[in-house]
Amino acid sequence: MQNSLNLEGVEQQALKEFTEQAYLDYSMYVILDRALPQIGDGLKPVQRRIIYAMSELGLSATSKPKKSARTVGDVIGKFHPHGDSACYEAMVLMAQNFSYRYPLVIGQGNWGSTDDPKSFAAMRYTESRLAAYAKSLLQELGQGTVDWAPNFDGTLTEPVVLPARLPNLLLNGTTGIAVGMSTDVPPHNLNEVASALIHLIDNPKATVSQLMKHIKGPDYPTGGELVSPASDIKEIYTTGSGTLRLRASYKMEGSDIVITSLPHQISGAKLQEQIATQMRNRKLPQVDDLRDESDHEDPTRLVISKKRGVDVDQLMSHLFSTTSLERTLRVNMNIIGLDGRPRRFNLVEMLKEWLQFRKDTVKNRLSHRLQIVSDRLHVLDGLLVAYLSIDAVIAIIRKQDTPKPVLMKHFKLSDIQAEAILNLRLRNLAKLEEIKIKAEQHDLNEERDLLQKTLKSATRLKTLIKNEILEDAESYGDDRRTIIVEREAAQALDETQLVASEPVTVVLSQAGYARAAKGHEIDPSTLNYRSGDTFLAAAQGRSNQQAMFVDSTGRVYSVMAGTLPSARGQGEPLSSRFKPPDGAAFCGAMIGTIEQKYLLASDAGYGFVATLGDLVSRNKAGKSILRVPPGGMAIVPAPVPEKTECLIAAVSSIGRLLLFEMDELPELAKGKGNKLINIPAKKYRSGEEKMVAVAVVPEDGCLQVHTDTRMMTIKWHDLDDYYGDRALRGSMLPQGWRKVERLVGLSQRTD
Amino acid sequence: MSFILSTKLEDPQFSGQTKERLSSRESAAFVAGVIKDNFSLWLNQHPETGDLIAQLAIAKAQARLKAAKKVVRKKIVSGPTLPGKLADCRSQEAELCELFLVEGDSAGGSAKQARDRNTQAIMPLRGKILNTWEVETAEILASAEVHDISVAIGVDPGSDDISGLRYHKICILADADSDGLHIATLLCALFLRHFRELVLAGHIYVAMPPLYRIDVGREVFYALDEGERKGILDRIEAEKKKGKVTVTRFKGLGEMNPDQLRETTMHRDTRRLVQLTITARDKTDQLMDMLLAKKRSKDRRNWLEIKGNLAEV
Repeated sequence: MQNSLNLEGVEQQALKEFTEQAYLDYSMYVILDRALPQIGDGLKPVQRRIIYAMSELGLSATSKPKKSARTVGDVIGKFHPHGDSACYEAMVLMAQNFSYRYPLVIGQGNWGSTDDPKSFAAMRYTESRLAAYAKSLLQELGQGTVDWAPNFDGTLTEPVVLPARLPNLLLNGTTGIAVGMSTDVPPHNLNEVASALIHLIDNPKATVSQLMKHIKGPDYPTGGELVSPASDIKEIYTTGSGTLRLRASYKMEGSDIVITSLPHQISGAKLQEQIATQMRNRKLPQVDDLRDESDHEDPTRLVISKKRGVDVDQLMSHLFSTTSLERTLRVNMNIIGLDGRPRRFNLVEMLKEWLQFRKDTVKNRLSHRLQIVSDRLHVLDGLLVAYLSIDAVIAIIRKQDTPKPVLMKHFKLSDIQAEAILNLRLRNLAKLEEIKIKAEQHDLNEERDLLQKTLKSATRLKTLIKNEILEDAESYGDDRRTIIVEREAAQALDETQLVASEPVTVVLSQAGYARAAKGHEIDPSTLNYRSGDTFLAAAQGRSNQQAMFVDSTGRVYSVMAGTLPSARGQGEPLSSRFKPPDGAAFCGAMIGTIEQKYLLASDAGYGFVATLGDLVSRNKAGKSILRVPPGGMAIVPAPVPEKTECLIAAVSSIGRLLLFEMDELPELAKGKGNKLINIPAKKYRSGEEKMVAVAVVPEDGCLQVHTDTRMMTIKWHDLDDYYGDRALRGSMLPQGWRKVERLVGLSQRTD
Repeated sequence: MSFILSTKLEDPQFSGQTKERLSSRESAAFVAGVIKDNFSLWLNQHPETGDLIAQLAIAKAQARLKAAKKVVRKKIVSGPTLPGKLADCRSQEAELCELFLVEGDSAGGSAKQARDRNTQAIMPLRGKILNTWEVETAEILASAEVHDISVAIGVDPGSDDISGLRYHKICILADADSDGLHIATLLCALFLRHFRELVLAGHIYVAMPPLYRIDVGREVFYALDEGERKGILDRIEAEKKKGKVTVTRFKGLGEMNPDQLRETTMHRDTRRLVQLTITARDKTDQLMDMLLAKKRSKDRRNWLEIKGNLAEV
């Protein structure tokens, strides 16, 4: 680092340079020495060190377990100078049979559960030893197979990589986040991987599709169903990245749905919470109850009891799409290759690279053994010479000051041979030894020949590797747990389908508070209102229909009726759901199917008939429908009965009532509409007169006229007195009935 | 915004002689009872005005919170306002004072013993601090570590006014291992983004701990750089010290004794302290953005592919 000095002799460096170098060093460290696994043994440094330290502690699969704190202490004290908790967590993960497809550690004590994988006991309580499968990583360690490197303080050596006899990376998978790259390798089934490897040894040019005949797809420890289409899986194996969809599996028991396995890393407790939340929010009316019946026999058993007549497939499809019963898993196979560089591997590259690693390991092992055998043979040659003339040897040793050079000269021995002879014990001079030596020589010669042949012949080497893979598959392999099926994409149920269809009355207060009362029999004016607030309008419909509200500027807002609060309270201000223009007040409520028609009108005496389907909007600011003159406002809309023959009733503030044929009014989607009743423009502008209410009266029905305190019903044949053409002035109501507040059209005569 | 409220009640009670506040207890409940419904109705009909009122209340509350957080320049009695972990220095002269931001409590302890207590203050940081590169200045104080740093140096984040600066040298002292480098990067980001004036004025330094540790028999030496390492090795040879000589990369500050730490990294005459500088046109911000922004993982990958081999791990 070349830094400049300023005038006062202070060393300076650009912040840019300093941080870039610092971050670069950090990044490369994290990539190479922390987050990414090595292709050979599929382990990150901390995992490798834990396993190596455990084997050094003698914690093999057959031994008695030792306290985890001892292992962790050894790992961080000897090889891994980092935090103890992070190290223990890494060890716990390798012991959890729901996290690792083939656990490397067997734990005694509480090692966490699927509901909360981090609920394991502290390391001073738990005990651990290596699993039998870990032998496949450690078995060949002392046989000259891998390189060794000094540890962090140079006092010990540790293996750079473990001589894995199986592609542990593919079997157990891995995840890790580094800088600029992350890795996610899914776990696989040992038997499938082994058979793919053998296929690849025999056919080095095998393609992804050929290998996929053996490896069907990832195999997660917690089972579940892999529902990604085969083409997606192939794409992932071809490119080394993509996403998979994993689903819980379930079965029916009577009318109950029983979930038997969850997707990888999904906690049953959290899932229950998700479903319960939906139930509490009344978004899941199909479900009666949810129980967790997990026990020692069935580690995962969630029971959903559904209501009668609910379609199971539809319900499960909804749950798959809205809860973590289905999850997507990322695959991104960034791994450190044999050249020590990180890159993304596809399936074929990964298997090939691992086979290369395996071949090198086996070669190293054989050469190492060959070396030992040759050395021993060399010594045996020397010993044999000595035995053939043992008396001469003894004489030399007894008489010479420095017997070794003399021995070497006399019998043409090498230094090592002479040393071996000098190290002989007297008891080994017995006659029997010669036979033993010859026998050993014979055995070793045979072994040497075999080793040399194997090392020289690629075919023999291949066969050896193949046999070893088969042998290991035999001892550690098991059946696939994750079922691979193609299924249709899960679909969430529409909100309208989820809400139960019940009769409701939507009630709007003068101040814009809305609620939905159950049933049609209630009298909205008798409900409880906030002080200063009174009843304004009500509309009868069903809870799965859209409730719509019109404001004084003629905008219409819609909301699901089922989501409105119940009539037990005082309702909810509509302005909290919608964004009406400042100063606008809500003027009326509507509800019904999308074909339902309503008469919309402004107090200027204009209006039109509209279909509700045209008024719906998801926009919080509503939809501008009725054009209202400045200073004017909309009035309570009137529902149009389904019968075609109807009369429209309109009443003005001075008590003039007019009834005319509905055919005279057009049906529009928006606009000002046509004149219903004649209000002189001058009087309207001055505020003297305006239209106050409208109603639609079906043929043979009657009209209720409400004033502030009283109500009267005008029968069908009495309505003739007010009948006229559209846009006339209308006739005066009787004295005392001219301050009309509301009009209600009814279909049958009520007495 | 103001209101005029007219109420009539019997036997009112006021506080203070000037009767500026009504203190009758029942009046609040009464007024609330009458007003609440009406006011909520009105607010719901005028949501935009309601929003403005709410914003006014929020702004006032934020100003109050900020005022509560504001730190007064240290006086003798105002000790407790400084963060508890800060071991402050005795001198009050900001020009002479130095603050060491030390990685980890374990190194913080020995740094505290290694310092010159007249002029050097120590502030241990636990673990990695928040990546503040993409956090709004107003929000960074939510992180306890950042808040403590800001209080300790006496400068508000984002402000141009550094007259309250309590130390003219703020030194980052982190381990020479990978995590230490990460912490140094995060601290640089914090200062560059939220205390830019400090960087411009040249108040930010990095303390360089020794690079090598040399073991000879039972003795341990530390070398600041390559040159010093050679010097020590030559000396060992000249003095014919017994024992195996091993040279290792120095890792954690915690492995040094306080007196060694003092000599190698903290004492004014023997330490190596590097001032971090920026110039207007050296594209520091672009580089930092590439390193630390959440959405630029791809750029980082490219950068690593080009420069990965230059790393010294």
